[in-house]
Amino acid sequence: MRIGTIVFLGGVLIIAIFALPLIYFLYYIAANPYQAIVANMSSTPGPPCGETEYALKLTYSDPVPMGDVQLTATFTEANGSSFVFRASANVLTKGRSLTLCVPSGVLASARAVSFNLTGSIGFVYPLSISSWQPVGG
Amino acid sequence: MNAREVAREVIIGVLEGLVYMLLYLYLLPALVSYLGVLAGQPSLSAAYSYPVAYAVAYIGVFEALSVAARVLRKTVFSPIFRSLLALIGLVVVLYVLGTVMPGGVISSSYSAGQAKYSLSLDVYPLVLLFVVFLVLPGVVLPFIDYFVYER
Repeated sequence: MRIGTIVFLGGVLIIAIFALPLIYFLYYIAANPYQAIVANMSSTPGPPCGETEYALKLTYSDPVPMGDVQLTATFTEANGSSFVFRASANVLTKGRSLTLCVPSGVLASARAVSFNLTGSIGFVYPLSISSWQPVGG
Repeated sequence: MNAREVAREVIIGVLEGLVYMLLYLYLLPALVSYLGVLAGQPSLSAAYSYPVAYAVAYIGVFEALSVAARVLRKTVFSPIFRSLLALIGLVVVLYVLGTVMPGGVISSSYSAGQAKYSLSLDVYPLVLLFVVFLVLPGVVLPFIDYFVYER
């Protein structure tokens, strides 16, 4: 077998290996467009946060690991002012979560919350997921 | 090379051209298109929507270069034609990538009630891998093959 053929087949194999996590992630996203990150707010203040803080837990549910994760949550009040909370992790795998502690005062006055999650899917492909949703009345 | 050998090389060249054509004109663009479809991109069939003139030109060029590379196998023109095949393949893939996901970024957004979600995924590392592991060897190796085996 010629060197060119071996290198060609090796190249196809390497590309297939690196493309698989991407295809799998996109397949999962396409099947569950809202489920890659599941946000859960604790119903009462307390652990793992302080006595007057609610725990906002964001659980990563995609089977493909994400590296270098940065999460920003912005709570916007009716008067336009906003409070920003950040969390980060080196790696997020399926089922692992990031927790933000949000003071009850901020939560009470917030009218909208937006999340921005950045990282790299399979440690290779840069990804950014953003969401915005109204809070309370 | 007698007429029989030339005919044999032409047939093999046509078949090789078909393989290149399938790989660069349909399979790789179909993969790019598929990635876009998975992320909810609107362009579903970029792999099959070349203007007819482009498709005929691409097929003609792939076949002509492949046949020429086979027939001129013992000459230095053969690796040049093979390298051109790889480079034209890259042009085709980049053209499709630019059509389906400009800048190599898949973007999509969803709405559920009042909530809005958006996603942006950069697939350029995959293009870089394609260039490094398929195009670059495709350009360089025909010359190594030629100087190692043919000379």
